[in-house]
Amino acid sequence: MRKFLFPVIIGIVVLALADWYFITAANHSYEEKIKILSVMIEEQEKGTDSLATAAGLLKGALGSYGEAGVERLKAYGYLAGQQNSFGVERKASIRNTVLFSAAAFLLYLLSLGLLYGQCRRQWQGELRALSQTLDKFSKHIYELEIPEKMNGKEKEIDRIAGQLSALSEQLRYNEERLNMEKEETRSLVTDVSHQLKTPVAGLKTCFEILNQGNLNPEEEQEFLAQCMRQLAGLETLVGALVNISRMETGMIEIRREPADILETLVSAVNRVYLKAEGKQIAIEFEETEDLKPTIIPHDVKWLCEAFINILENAVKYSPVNTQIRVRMIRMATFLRIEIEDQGIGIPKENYHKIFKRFYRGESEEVRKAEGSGVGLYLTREILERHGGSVTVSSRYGSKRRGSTFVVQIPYD
Amino acid sequence: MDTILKTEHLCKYYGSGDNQVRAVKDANIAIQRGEFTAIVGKSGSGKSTLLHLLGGLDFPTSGKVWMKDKDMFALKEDELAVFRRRKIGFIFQAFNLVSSINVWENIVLPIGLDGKETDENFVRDIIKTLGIEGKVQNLPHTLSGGQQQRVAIARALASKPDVILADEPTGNLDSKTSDEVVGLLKMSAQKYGQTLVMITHDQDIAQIADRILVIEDGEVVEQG
Repeated sequence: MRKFLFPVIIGIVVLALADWYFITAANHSYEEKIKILSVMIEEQEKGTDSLATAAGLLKGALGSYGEAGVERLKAYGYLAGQQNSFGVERKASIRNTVLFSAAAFLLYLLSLGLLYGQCRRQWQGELRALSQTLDKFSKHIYELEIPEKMNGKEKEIDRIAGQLSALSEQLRYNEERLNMEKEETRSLVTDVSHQLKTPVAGLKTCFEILNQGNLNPEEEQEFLAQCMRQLAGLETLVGALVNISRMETGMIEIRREPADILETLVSAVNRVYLKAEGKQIAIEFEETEDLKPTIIPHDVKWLCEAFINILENAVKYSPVNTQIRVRMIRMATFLRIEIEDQGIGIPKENYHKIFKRFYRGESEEVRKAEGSGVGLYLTREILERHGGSVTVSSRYGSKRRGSTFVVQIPYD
Repeated sequence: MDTILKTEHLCKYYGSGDNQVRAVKDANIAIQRGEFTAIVGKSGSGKSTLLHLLGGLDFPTSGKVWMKDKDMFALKEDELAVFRRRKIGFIFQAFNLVSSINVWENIVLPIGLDGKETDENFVRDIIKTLGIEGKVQNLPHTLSGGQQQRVAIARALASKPDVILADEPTGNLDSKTSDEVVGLLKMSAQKYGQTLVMITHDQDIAQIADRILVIEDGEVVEQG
């Protein structure tokens, strides 16, 4: 409403000025006429004939105001209350001016009102559209209710519409991500509980049997050993689960800092060295000319963990007296590291499965060995977060026993 | 996440009667935004036909392909051509570079075709990511196969398509270079938020994908 105050005031001022002008003009004309009459009366009394008086007036020779004539007209009562035909004419003229200007003003107000109404309706329509959009947002429907015609009409509204559209994209994206995270958490919980069930059930059975107490000392020892094994398995599993859940909930942040990757690889080898030695497995670096310091941005701790996982598997699934060969090859964008063992190998159809969470091979060797099915999954996660990859290669496989893991890490 | 590419009962048959070849049979797949999907199949399994259908390069016998909310085959031919150019980047086995113009010109060529302004910084960033910044003035034939495929990848990424379709991108490369090129494809698609669908017969490189679909005799199944 306030923005219409100004045009209303302007209207009033313009009309008042016009009225003032017309009323002044009417007054002036009345006075002129009275002046002419009074001059004529005075000249008559001086004996001037009326034609000469008229000529004098027209020539402007009779400038002075006929005060005496006015007095005479007053004396006859013509000027009292302007009760003469000129006075009536003047009044009528003033009245017409006022009436006309009042009508013009009303018309002006009316058109202003209509314009205002139209603006308001459009404004309200747009606001309603915005509010409906927000209502939908609160019901998690991220669609814009904004009519096309709004575009360009009101700049402000246009900008808000643009912001809303961006917001809807953002909200939709957030919600999808949230749903995805929920889904991931759910599947993680399912997987974890599934993994924990078996050893816990085993442990429970052992304790129940021990609890019945009708065992000879040998049997008791055996069941106690069984309990210890189950517990050790649980411990490994819990350790792996802690890592995995940290990784998945984003508590582990991969911090890539320039460091010598060869050192990282060597410290990973050192970590599995004892186990390898126990099985008389030699871990050898090949193509030594490439083994100069290789500074690559990587997270030393986690990449080391990734290498350990691959190497541990290599040791675990290799027979005694075999070799594990490690090769570093400089490619254009990635450093390629191949870890080749002479172990049980992996059936080709399972290549992609081994990197899945909690997947374990079906062969007897795998089932006998300790493991949680988490290591390679974690390895893949770690490498992907480095912008790299890990795959198991079939290209060297056909004539040889064993597996070759290929790790690629970008130089920057 | 939201589905960016979807097929509904997609079929492609050639010939008729006893000689009918069913290249793609009732494929119903959904590919999520930002996902890297590998479609693995032996030669003759229908995998190339499937990719051509996904990219609107070939018309299906029946069924639909949706990209976001657009029914691709409901578009008129010229509309489809424009849609394809704007929304889809292609990478082929044979690189398909123009031999008479240099690497930079090859990369920005599709952008120019669309009358769009080249986002030079973006293109330079891609070139750097792909490690071919020293080769932009070279003519394609002076590059190795791996380098040529990098140029083709840069070209596919440069016009910021929603989806990149790669048909045997490593078919002409040795195995180490193949691993590297696919690693790069994944890295750059991830970096630029693009969705990647790759056809390959090579199980090794398929492992790098987030998800593997297997096509056998025209039937598509998720690899469990």
